[in-house]
Amino acid sequence: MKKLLLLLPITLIFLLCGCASREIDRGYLVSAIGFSKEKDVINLYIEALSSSDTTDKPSEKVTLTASGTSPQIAFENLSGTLVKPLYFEQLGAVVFEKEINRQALNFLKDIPDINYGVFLVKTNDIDKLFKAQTPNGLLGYDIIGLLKTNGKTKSSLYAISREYFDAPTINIENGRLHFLAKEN
Amino acid sequence: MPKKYSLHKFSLCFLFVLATLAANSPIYHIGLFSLILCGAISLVLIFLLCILLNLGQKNKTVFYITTCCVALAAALGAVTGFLDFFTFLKTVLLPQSSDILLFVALVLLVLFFLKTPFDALFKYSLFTALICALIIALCFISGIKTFDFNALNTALTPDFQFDTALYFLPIIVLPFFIKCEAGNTKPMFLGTGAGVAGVLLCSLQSILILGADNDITFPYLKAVGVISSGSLFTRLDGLVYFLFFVTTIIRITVCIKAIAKIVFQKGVKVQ
Repeated sequence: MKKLLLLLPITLIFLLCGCASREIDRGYLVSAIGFSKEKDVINLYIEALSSSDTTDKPSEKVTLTASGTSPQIAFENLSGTLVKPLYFEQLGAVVFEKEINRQALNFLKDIPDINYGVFLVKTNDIDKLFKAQTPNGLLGYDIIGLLKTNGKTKSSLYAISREYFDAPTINIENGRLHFLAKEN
Repeated sequence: MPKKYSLHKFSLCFLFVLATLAANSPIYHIGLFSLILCGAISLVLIFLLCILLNLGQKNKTVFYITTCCVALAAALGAVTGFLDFFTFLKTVLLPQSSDILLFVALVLLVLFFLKTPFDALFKYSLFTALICALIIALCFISGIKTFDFNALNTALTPDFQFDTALYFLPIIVLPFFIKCEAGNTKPMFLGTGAGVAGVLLCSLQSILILGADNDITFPYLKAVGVISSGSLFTRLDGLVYFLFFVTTIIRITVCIKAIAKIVFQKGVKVQ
């Protein structure tokens, strides 16, 4: 009997060790996040999937934008306008316009549910990239696909944070993502 | 407790020390030097406490001072263990659950473990320690390809962090607990040593993946989160949830049981 009782805490452990108790239909699943800087203003771009309340309607892709004097303030300005929370567990890529922003890197590291293996890339025109229709419909995962196909998987958040090397530049032209052949 | 329970005691001590990992502070500002120093001091402290506990049999003053120190360390271990695990649940695992619900669930779980007899706790330790050791080994081996060994230059800079010492301090509860319950202390030293080695290995992994100069909350969790092996095994951080849970619950239970022993003065028979 005692041995059977011992199974209870073990079972409890497995029950409590599941994924975070977040109901995906009650939040935005973020697939890509982007930052650009104009003078002292940080522009924030978020590509997310918004699940519908009914099962017969598919999830729709939304692009959310906000600005602020820092990435944190831009994020707070954006969150204030949303009815559902943002979930970062499935974040695929982080995009910076022209150069990596150290302030934004620190902001990303403070998001509790972010995975440090998320890929970082640069682009010449972030607005164009986030508004374009990418081949598979989601920019974040299309970037992952492109990086993996080309073997450029070193530019992750943890690697760039510890070494601060440069990230590859990806642009969009005619609905197709491609690497910038030569840096300007 | 029969001698054949040596492995059980070893496992309990291993898990107790490993609970330091779950706490935020010791590796918040990662410093290997500080961890090594605190681990070594802990081993010396438990050796001294064994001597003091033996002296306490003949001298009541020594006995009261020693038990007071153990009680304070146990209270520190129980409170910090509870708060750290609550913070972990609230920020990482169950961020949208209400504080009260989480608190009550955790209290009930601790109560359940407190109700379990000592031999059941030892058997539970043996079973889960094996899993924890396998998890640490698996995570370390899987993470090798992501290591950056240049980070070690900064990580080995001599410094001493007070908060790291604070999280190692509850280890002095072990000689009291093991002596009260079991007698043979050799497995305790070996288990504590293995626990310190486990904490060092996990911290080393965090440093080699995330770099030494950072202030990341739950660094081991984040470091393991980036490991992937093909497309099948990705985000192994779920295993760390298990590790945090098992070790913290053992630390809280042992600390509270030690306090109960001291307060009620039952079974305090130093051998």
